Parts: sequence; structure tokens; C-alpha cells
Amino acid sequence: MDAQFKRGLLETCVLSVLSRGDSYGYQIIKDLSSCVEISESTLYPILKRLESSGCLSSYSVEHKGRLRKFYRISAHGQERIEAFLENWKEIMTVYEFIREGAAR
Amino acid sequence: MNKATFLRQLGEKLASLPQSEISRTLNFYEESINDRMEDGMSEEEAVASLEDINVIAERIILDNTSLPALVKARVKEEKKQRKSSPQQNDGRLLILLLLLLGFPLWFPLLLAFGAILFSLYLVLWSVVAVLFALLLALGLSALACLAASFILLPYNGLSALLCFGGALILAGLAILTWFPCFLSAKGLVLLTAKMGKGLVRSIKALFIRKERK
Repeated sequence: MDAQFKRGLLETCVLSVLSRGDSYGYQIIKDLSSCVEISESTLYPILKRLESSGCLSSYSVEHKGRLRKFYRISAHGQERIEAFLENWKEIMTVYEFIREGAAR
Repeated sequence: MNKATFLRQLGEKLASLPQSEISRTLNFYEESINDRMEDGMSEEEAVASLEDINVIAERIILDNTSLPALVKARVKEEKKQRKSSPQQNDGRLLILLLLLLGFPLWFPLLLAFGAILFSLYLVLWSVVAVLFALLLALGLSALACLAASFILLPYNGLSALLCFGGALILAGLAILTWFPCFLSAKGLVLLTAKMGKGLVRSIKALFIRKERK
């Protein structure tokens, strides 16, 4: 898969995890593992990019004597998910058209 | 490898980054290791389950320096171009100077070359002219022989017949000459048109190339 394309997909995957509730690094990786295997070194830049583009915010919570960084999706992040779904509706229409042509 | 060693080594590898970015990254990985340990892994296992420390460091450095590195590369490129362009200008100036200085030499040579080409072209036309002259001569002498045969007919029948025969032969030759005359003239006209078009096109190409430069 194209790297740029995959990065976009993974970003939306992370946003999707967060749209079900605030979460932290390791939990995000575990939640995603049913759909896609992702490592810390992949997740870290994604979270950074999403935060700097205003798709999510972060806050720290004390957990067993240490700090745990939680991420929360923003309204802009929700819009990104909706835009993604909207885009894919179009892509799927094209996909169907191409598939029908190939099946002939 | 335990957690402390891992974090220290990662910090060392990221030394080129700003301090805030280093501590942010170390916090992220420390939290991740702690979460794994909480999940039931030992400290060693948790560190081992992460990616290779070099891979991690490389990825973070790349992610952090890509834009400045790009800008730097672009600036370098522009500097290179700026450096190389004066040289190009110098080269062009030199060529211009040589052209100017060499004018007394190359202009007469060019003129002579053009004159030779033009004279060759004229020679081609003169061949055509000779053919037409031949045609005219044959046609006129055929008419003259015909006239002579009519004039001689009352006085000397044999001479008149001879003249008439001559007229027929000359007329035949004239008709035969007509074809090479016509074809050569047509060919030369077509050649001239083609050469003219070619000349116009090459001049146009010269200008287009200049504009592109």
C-alpha cells in the first residue's frame, strides 16, 4: 500500500478509536490491533501530527503514582472522520463501477 | 535491557533534537513500557517488545527534521543555481565577444557560402532555361520547315517533301522535349517552395529555442 495513503488511513483509525472515548498510547495500540497492527514508533508521530493539526488534545492523568497521557478527539477530528467516510462513499461508487467492468 | 538503559540510549540518539522534543518522546516510551509491565510483562520483556532502538530514533529524527532539512536542501540548490548562473552568463558573454571580434572573418565566409548556394540554385534554373530554349528552337524550326515546304511546293516537289518531313521530325522532337521541360520546371518550383518552408521553420525553431532559454 502507498505510504502516504496508509498514513492517512492510520490517522483516521486513531481518530476512530478516540471517537469511542478518550484513550492513551498503549490502549490505542491494543484497540487497533483487531483491525491493524501498529507500533509505538508509528503511533507516536501520528499522535503528534493529529495534535498539531488540532484534531485532538491531550491531558495527563495520575495513574498509580505516574502520569498517563490521555488523548481526546476534537470537533475538527470528528469532521475529519466524517470527511473520510464521505470521501470513501465516492471511492466505493467508483470501485463498484470498475469491478462491474472487470467482471464482464 | 531495562527501562532506564533504554530511555538513556534513546535520549542519546535523539541528542540532535530540541530538549522539549526529547523529553516528550522519552515520556511517551516510558509510559508505554510501564503500561506493558502493568499488562503483565516483565521490564525486560516490555523493552524487548518495542521496536529496535535505532529504528525508533531514526523515525523520530526523520519526522522532526524533514521540513528544515528540505528547506536547507532547497536553499543549497538555489545557491548552487545562483553560483552557476554567473558562469553561464560569462560563457554567453565570451561567445558574444568572439562573434563580434570574428565578424570580419566569418561574415565574408558566410556571404561566400550563401553566394555558392545561390549560384548552384541558379545553375539548376539555367538547365531548365536551356531545355526551354531547345523547345523553342525545335518548335520554331519545325514551323519554318513547314512554311518552307509550302513555299517550295510549286517549284520543287521533292525539296518540299523533304522540308515537310524535316518539319514533322522537328515537331516530334519538340513534343518530346516538352516533357523534361515541364517536369524540371515543376520540380524546381516545388523544391524552391520546400526550401523556403524549411528556412522559415529553422528560423522559427531558432527563436523558440531562444525563448526557452
